[in-house]
Amino acid sequence: MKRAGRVMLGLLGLMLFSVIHALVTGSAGFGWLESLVAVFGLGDPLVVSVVSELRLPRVFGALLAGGLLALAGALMQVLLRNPLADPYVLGVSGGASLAALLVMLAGLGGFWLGLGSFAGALCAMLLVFGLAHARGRWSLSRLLLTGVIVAAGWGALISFVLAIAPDARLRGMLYWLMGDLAGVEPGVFPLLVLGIGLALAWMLARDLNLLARGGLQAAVLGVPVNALRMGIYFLASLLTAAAVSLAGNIGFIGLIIPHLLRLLIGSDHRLLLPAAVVLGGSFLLLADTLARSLFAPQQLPVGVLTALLGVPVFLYLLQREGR
Amino acid sequence: MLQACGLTVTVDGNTLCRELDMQVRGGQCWALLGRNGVGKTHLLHTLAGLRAPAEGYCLLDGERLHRLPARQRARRLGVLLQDDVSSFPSTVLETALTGRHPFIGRWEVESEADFQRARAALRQMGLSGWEQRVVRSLSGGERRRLDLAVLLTQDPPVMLLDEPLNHLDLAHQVRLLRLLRRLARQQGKAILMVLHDINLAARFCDRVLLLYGAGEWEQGTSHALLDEARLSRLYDTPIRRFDGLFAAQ
Repeated sequence: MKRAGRVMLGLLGLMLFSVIHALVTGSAGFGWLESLVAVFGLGDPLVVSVVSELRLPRVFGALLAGGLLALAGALMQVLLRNPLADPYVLGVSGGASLAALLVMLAGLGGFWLGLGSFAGALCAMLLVFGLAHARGRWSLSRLLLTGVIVAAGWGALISFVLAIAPDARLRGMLYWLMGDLAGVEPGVFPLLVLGIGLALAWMLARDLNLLARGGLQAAVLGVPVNALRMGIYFLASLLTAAAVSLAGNIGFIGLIIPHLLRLLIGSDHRLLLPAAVVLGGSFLLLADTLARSLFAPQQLPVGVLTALLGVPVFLYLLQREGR
Repeated sequence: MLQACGLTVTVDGNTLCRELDMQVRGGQCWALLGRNGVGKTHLLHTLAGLRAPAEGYCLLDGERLHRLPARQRARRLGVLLQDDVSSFPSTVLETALTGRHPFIGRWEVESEADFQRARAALRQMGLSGWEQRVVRSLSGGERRRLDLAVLLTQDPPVMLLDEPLNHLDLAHQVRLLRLLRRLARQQGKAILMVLHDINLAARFCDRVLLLYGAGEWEQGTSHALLDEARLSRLYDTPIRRFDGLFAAQ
């Protein structure tokens, strides 16, 4: 357990760095000290307002969305027993995206966008579960197939909405689809989902370790496999829904972070799950800070950067593993 | 300890085993023999409570096996599965420790005693010194021994083993069977294993359950049941005995 402490300490250090980096980086040209004291409401009121109203919400938004996605990804990988699974593989984000685009098409935004996408994600989750469960027994391959096919269906509907959307709304829609933290308003809700989700998942961490070795082997060792699988499915879907309604379809966090950690610290989920939350949040925050500072004042959608950073890292790991 | 009462096992409408009555007692070592695809694994999984029987029931220490909560069952009955593919990297010691899962409370971590059991099991399986190796780097036979070490770490009174000798070389096969026989005789374990080697079954197991196909079965002592006529029927091929050893013609 000493090693676990060191790993978590290191990751929390990285998180602290990413937070400070995000708070002092920006196109306004403030000094770093000025920006930092502004967090506590001290100094120039202009700096205080920029830091507390623009940068701080983004910091929280990124940490939450990244943590949610990484946790959801880790759970989905165990559920499907596939290290290449991600939170979106079963189409939860597809439902969320379609609902979000319809909300935008109707000219609504802000609160309605979050609510709509969350509701869309829940519908997608129930649809896939219902279809996979409809007749006969719950089976994993059936769940995967159903999820992937339904996800393809969402993709088609999303393209359809994009095709009929007026040009004026198209840019906003594309940004949302790529994942974007500009104007993020993290409330208490995603924080609650993340906190409760992590606590629940952590409670089941040892069962997850066994499930990762195979359903039958887990059953042999006394894990109630079907109930656990159902629980993971709903938990991972809820986490994904919360993340997507917060910041859109940010890719690669849910795939890369758990995979990276499995290679670095092993597959004991008692350590992996909290580590994924911290690293996922930090990684997304660093990517978001880059996204808004790289071509400042032009801001890139953060999804572009997570994928741009994620693809080579992932390919590298895959190559290394193949050897 | 483990008892089957009128147990019928079917798959897709085919009856693999009809109204089986048997009792695996502590101290006994059983071999389950039969042709490929005759339903040995399905029967084993049913006896292990992993699969519901079509008819009849099993008793574990007098309690209905299929009604026991999974965790309680796993404290008393362990299974070695035929194959095991792990998708995620984990170490040999971590894997062996999973055998203690049914005994560790939700809010507890593995105790020093659990670690000692796991290390002892690895030692018994000749995997000492490999605790920190990644499972994926092991050979087929080494992985098989690790699976056995998980079962030994779990250390349940009833052990069901599906082809435990798979991937093992001759020396490890005999070493393992000796160990299992010793566990039965000295610690009173109830052991049933699927085997393909009739001669090893005859040498190490005191009882046999023969699965003929189409639901027919026969059980008894190895001494009484292992003869040329029965084995020829069992494997649907002429089998003769030379110098006390069975061989296919």
